[in-house]
Amino acid sequence: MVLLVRYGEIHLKGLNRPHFEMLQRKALVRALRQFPDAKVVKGQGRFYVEGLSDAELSRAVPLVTKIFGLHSVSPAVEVEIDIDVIQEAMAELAQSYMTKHALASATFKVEATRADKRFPLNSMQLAAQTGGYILEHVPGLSVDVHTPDFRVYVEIREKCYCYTEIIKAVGGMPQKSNGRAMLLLSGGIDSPVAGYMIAKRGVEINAVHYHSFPYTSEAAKQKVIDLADILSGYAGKIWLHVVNFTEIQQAIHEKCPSEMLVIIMRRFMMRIAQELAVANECKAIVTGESIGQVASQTMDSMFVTSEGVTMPVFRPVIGMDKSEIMDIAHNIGTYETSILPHEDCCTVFVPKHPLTHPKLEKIVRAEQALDKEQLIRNALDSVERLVIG
Amino acid sequence: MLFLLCYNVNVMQNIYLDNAATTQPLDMLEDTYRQYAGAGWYNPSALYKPAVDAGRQLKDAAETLLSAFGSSTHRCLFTSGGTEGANTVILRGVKNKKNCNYVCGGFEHPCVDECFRQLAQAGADVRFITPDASGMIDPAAVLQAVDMDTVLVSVMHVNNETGAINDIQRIAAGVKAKNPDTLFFSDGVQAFLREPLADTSQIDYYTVSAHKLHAHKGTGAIFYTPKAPLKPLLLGGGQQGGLRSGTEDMLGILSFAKAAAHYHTNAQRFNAQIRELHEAFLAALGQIDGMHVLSPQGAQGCAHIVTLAFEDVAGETLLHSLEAKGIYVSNGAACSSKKGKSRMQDALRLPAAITDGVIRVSFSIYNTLDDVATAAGEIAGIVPTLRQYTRK
Repeated sequence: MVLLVRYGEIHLKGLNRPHFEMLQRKALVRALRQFPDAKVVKGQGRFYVEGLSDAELSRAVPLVTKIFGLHSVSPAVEVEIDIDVIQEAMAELAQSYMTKHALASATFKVEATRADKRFPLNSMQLAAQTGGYILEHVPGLSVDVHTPDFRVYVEIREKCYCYTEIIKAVGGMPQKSNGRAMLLLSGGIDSPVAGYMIAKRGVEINAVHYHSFPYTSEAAKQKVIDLADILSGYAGKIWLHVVNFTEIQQAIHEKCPSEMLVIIMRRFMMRIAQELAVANECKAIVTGESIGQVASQTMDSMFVTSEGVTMPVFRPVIGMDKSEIMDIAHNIGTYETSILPHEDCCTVFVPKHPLTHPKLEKIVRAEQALDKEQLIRNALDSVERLVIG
Repeated sequence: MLFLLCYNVNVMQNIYLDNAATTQPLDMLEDTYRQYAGAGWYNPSALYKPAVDAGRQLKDAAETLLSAFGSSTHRCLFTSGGTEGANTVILRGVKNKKNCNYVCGGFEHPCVDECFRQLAQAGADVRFITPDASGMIDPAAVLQAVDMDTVLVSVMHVNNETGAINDIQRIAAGVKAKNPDTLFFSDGVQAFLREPLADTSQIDYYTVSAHKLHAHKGTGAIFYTPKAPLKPLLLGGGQQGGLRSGTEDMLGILSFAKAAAHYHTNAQRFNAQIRELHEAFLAALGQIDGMHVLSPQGAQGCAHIVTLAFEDVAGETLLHSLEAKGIYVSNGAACSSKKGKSRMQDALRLPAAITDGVIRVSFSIYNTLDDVATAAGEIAGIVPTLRQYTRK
């Protein structure tokens, strides 16, 4: 069997299509690195993964369908372009489909594609011919061309490929095809989802985490490393920058009005993220903010937090409800880790009544009590850089 | 900013003061490991000689443990630890009778507490006895709750969060006097060999755990009287007389017996040594503003646990600040420290201002007077610094 891998949007590309295909192939090879015999072969508008045993194939499917940029996959039988061989292979597939699903009777339909026009039968004829053969040779089947229980597909291309299943992949754009961004990754539910969504569009992820030892624990940091690890299953290798944020929080706590603590803290986070982004050739900042979710995520607050940076700030979950974000977190497997109860730096020092409608001028004035440049420099000096995935 | 500077400093020292969570295995156990790997690894249920030898070693281990417990009449059932022990006793021990009731300490370890809560949820009458502010259970209150329908009373020997010692001999005797049919269970995980028991005859079930006594995680035992009913929690191959299926954890059991024998032989010296650490630690701490010693002092508190609370300090932050200095303590029992609300606040009815700032310091024979002096000095230094940054 081979795994037939179809890609998504990149077939719309023009002259730069080979570049996208190269990236897509790289991601595919990376996802399959645990199978030393797997070979990725480029076909027309698709890849073929050869060299996998049947057992390996079933383990490979969930890995491949996670790769961004792919449309769908099908475990397929590859045969010579010879009508006798083809119809026999298709009858066998239909039979094993029946066996696998324990069906005594079922309806089916053949879907034929002929990319190689040298083949003497056209698609309609090919479907009719092979369909008739299957009907004769597999007991319990009847044809239904409108709503069949299952379909048997046949494609005449470089070779002939027959299959019964099309398994949808996540879509998006190939890993690392759309530049690099710096993700603010907390231990919460939203930021890993934001990272997933931006990575889905082919953006390479760097992440920054603000750590407040001794106010937060090693366990809290490990939780973020675990989240980055789950994310890297989709996004590829992630550089995680862990910044010691304690001194900044203490300084704000000491010198600024308590209700402004969160907003000023967020501005520092953005500033530091931008510095790290520039140093790591990222072209945007990504956050998990969603309008109105907490005090620091009102429109006024986000205006004030964004004001301190010049780089674009993307917020992929901005219009989502918490429950929608949680659904995605469940699907991508970050939820269980996100809800582990460790303090994160955002909950330390938080005042009882943080500002929900901060005024920029007042915040800027309050910040003047701080030696911002020095604090940021110290924080940047404290960065621990980890490679995840 | 003093403690900030220490964040990235390499940890030079390693002062482990979380011995109520687990203890370092004794060096002398290395012999046991070697013997096990050489000739002790056979399945004690098998029928050939090396296996029979292993079976005999198990029997000897049980006797060693029972003698350390101070009984020649109890039986020993090996388990995977304190949690399995408590679950077996509570859920598979007494026979459920119609209209029966249970009496349970109000600040038991979760492995006991959760079992009783499950019984209560299933409709049983469970009477929780409110402890005093140090976690101690008043024997009179227990007796008052016991009546002719009480089937089981459970009061832990030493409280794992505060070190409070319950007078379980007195409670057991009182319970039996009031209702001879009532069974008495005590969770002895923190107390075994640390708190002597002169008379074990009234204690129907007593559970212990190996890793709290310098042996391994994954091994424990139930000591029970021949008359105390017990049914298996785990079904299977029928090991240990059908009471606990599963091939016996030979290495864990032999290590436990060896450690217990060693501790038993030296109990007086070890416990005096730990008492000295306890007192030296408190003396070195001296008077710190807003500090409360939650552990009962003197004979009412177990020597190896000191629980402190600091007003306007978060226990976890203090814990991590000490961690940065290579000093390891707990902010309440590790088993419950990951859950949101403090059980302590609930059970001991202390204000959050106190329970938020709790750390538990617990000693072992591996600690020195220097260790506790250093730890006390660091605590005294860190607390005022942390208070500067208390949430406004």
